Amino acid sequence: MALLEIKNLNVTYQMKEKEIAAVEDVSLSIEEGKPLGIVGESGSGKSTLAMAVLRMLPAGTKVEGEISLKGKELLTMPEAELKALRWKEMSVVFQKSMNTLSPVHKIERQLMDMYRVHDGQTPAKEIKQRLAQLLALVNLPERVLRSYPHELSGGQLQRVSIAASLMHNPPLVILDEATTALDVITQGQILNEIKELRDKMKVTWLLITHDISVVSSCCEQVAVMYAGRLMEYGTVEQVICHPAHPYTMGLLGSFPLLYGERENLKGIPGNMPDLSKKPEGCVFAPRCPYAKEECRCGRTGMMEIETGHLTACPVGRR
Amino acid sequence: MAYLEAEHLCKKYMVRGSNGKSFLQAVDDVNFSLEQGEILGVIGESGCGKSTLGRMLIGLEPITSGRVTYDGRKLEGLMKEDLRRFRGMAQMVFQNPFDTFPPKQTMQNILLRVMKIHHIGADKEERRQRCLRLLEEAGLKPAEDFLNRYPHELSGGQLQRLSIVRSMMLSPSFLVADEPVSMLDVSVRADIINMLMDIRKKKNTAMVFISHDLATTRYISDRIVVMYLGRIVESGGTDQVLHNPQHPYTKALLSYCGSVDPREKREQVEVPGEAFAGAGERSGCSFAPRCFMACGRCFREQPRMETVEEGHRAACHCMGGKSKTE
Ligand SMILES: Nc1ncnc2c1ncn2[C@@H]1O[C@H](COP(=O)(O)OP(=O)(O)OP(=O)(O)O)[C@@H](O)[C@H]1O
Ligand SMILES: Nc1ncnc2c1ncn2[C@@H]1O[C@H](COP(=O)(O)OP(=O)(O)OP(=O)(O)O)[C@@H](O)[C@H]1O
Ligand code: SF4
Ligand SMILES: [Mg+2]
Ligand SMILES: [Mg+2]
Repeated sequence: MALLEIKNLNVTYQMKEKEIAAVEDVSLSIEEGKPLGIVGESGSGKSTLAMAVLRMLPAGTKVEGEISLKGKELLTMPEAELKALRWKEMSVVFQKSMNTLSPVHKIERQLMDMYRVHDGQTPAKEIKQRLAQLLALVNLPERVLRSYPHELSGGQLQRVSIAASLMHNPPLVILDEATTALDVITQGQILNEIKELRDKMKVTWLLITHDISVVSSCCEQVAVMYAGRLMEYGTVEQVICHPAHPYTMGLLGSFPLLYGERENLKGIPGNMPDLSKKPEGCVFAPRCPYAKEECRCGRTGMMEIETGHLTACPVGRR
Repeated sequence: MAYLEAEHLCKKYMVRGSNGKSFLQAVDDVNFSLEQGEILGVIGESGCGKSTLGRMLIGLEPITSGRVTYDGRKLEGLMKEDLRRFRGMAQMVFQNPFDTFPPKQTMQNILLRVMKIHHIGADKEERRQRCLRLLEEAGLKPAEDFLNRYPHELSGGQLQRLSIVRSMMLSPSFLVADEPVSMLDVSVRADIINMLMDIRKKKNTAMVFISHDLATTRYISDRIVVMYLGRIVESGGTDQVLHNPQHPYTKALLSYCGSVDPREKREQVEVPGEAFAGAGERSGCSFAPRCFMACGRCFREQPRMETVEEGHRAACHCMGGKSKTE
């Protein structure tokens, strides 16, 4: 059984005059021990997808489809049951998670309070031990516990959030741009720490980023999203080394390289379409250099071109 | 004589700490020169003083000590003589395109106002025509359509193009681009970088391109300076710095630079701890506490910039494998 299984997910934000189809017909699954990365431009629906899994979308948002965590259906689950599941079965780290911390209390006190929400039994001494252990996993000294949030750097705070997300050993951790705002060196170090957690903690992550290099260094599976839809899905090797969708190719081509010729950095001309208007055919067609007549009419579903490698494009396919 | 020269530039901010007032050295003895039409990349971690340096170069931040000259003339003199003219000559593009424009005005109002203030064009119609031409040149077509839009109706990439258009309206001969692509999607970064290179080619504008990303900077800069805690630790031609990095910090930055290819494994340099831009005097090399090569001397004596090869300099006691003494 998959750890997380998403089937035909649609998420539509309800605005005053319009509806925004932020996620459309996305199906994905995550196997235990096989971290998945979701990449795509800003506004492609990555966070919306994560929020749907966490059931943290604004009230009134239309959500259709199925999401199951270890076989338990999340979308229809009563709120109370869901509360018990958060932190224990899945947790999340956002780009600026620690901004939500109170500035007037020390880290230790806040982490202990968070711990107790889901486990009121454990004695304080044991919790403290556990916290120190968790901090060590992300290379933080114990004294961080006695600091106030403002005494820590952005990188340290983000490490604290990662440690906090692991408090109750959840099998699934969602990292939404968790390292994006950090310096290259700090980001690199934290990604290394995350990779080590996989063996040390048996945790599998769903990592959301716009930076393909991050996915390439710490995920096994990749999903490429554009304008709310899944464009390509497969192993890192399949999607990044042998992309089959022109959008994936475009993203890869825009990535700046450290070495090699530097004559022309190529982008993807054009902009993301208005998500309140449903296009005919492929959403990427207006920006696609390979678009053919067949792309502009009739939608194609995901097609498997090789075991486990799926693409939404009928043209770029090998 | 170079077009722009920065000599011994320093910026100290007064900060209040637990033990009274002290100084934070945000920019420390920075020296470089720039020829007309040349693009210099300024690289470094958050807080190393890149923006402060950029703002000082165009007179948006008072200089604590040292000097900046344009064609041999001091910045302060140029500003005092004719501030408006100086502003027309030296411009800046900022990191966040989403808050560079007032939200409640159309692009037309915003752009025409700049022209009016700087006495460009005889009347409104002439300014409008000029504006349309500039937008078209910047690939914002149909220009008419863009002029009528409000900032929130535009994408980040489009806003950044407009921000560049606005800076270029006055035909500046020097432009500071402070992380102009950091907040944009990779797919539109190339666009902005190509636009800046195009401007350089057509107008021979000198630029300082600030970034925390070596890979992106490489596509646009002729030369690169690497900053660490306010000081330049390495400078040279783009390829010199990338292919033959000398300073341990540059080496570390390169080793953590992301690669899309999962098969490519870069050996990562250990860099414990974090940059500490604390207040107060420092002795020795500011990178020493995190440096994998540091020796006793590094903690006592500040390394000076030394020439590695023609045009390539770095400040490190242990360069070129000079052994760890002590
Ligand atoms: N609460 C909301 N109400 C209405 N529209 C929303 C809401 N949240 C997001 N959207 C829209 O839904 C689309 C998808 O947004 P989402 O935040 O999921 O994208 P993303 O891929 O995470 O982007 P980023 O990389 O910028 O974080 C966007 O067009 C966004 O403007
Ligand atoms: N007005 C100010 N008063 C006091 N300290 C300041 C002020 N402006 C900047 N600093 C400090 O000076 C140092 C350099 O800041 P600066 O903004 O120039 O860095 P930066 O390299 O541009 O960083 P970033 O990548 O985050 O933009 C930092 O330690 C910052 O906290
Ligand atoms: S001078 Fe010493 S501490 Fe500084 S970078 Fe060189 S080796 Fe490292
Ligand atoms: Mg997001
Ligand atoms: Mg800055």
